[in-house]
Amino acid sequence: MFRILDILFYILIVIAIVLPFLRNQELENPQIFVTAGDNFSKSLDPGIDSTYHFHNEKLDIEVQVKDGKVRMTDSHCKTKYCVKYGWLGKDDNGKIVCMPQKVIIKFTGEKESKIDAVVG
Amino acid sequence: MKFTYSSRVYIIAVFSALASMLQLLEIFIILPIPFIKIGLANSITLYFLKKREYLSAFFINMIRIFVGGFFSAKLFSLPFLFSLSGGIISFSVMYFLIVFFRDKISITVVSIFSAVAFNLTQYFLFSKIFGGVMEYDTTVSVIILLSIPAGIITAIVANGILNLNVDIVITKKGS
Repeated sequence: MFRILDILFYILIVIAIVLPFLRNQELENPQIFVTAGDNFSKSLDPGIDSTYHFHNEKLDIEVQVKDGKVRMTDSHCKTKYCVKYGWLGKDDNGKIVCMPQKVIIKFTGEKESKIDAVVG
Repeated sequence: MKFTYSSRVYIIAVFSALASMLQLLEIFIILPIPFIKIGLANSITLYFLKKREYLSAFFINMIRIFVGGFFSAKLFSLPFLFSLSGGIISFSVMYFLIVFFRDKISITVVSIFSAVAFNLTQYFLFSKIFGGVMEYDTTVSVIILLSIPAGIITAIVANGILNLNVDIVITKKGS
């Protein structure tokens, strides 16, 4: 059953969904950061097209960098959500996550706002 | 329909078992994004919150999380702790909305907010523990979007239970 106050809460949800897209901060000197728990972290250059294979006793993933984007091409996990995520670009403002192997792949860099100056 | 119990313990036991069954059934439903669960078991918690049986609702919620963790062989593991944290936060959100807004908001909104709170808690915990920082990024938008149908499904089930007009009565000993 619908109530009048529902509209307010639905508006809140819409704002929560749209907010990350409005921020749209560009990264300066972006780097691809791959971490796996506390034991492993690696920084990759998005300007170099290559495929990387990271393997140790707890980790077995393959990462591809191409045209400034990154994706997981293979992962030793059951559901392979991380592989299904697809390409991640520096402007996408998201991250590729593989929970079973505790892997996070994201773009890092200095954030630059699109606003050039604020005149008060 | 009227069910009479001599003690609240029986209500909690019976409905915890029902909620646990619903939680275990969900294991067979795999959604495209991790962290996302439908939360059918939450419909039982929602029902008891709407009936103002807050203590029963809390215990049913906690017990079904523990039972789910036990039967999926993940009790006290990290996924279980994520689930427990999500369960506590989502229950708090439902309790707050139902107690402070009463009949001014629909059960669908409560359910959606509960689903969003549950899934976002798990996501932020995961980000903090393994990524070192909790970021409000586009992944959060995707999680919220996918929590909405989960919340709606749970609300439909909870509404169905409420529409059955089931009265749960606790009789005192000797009466």
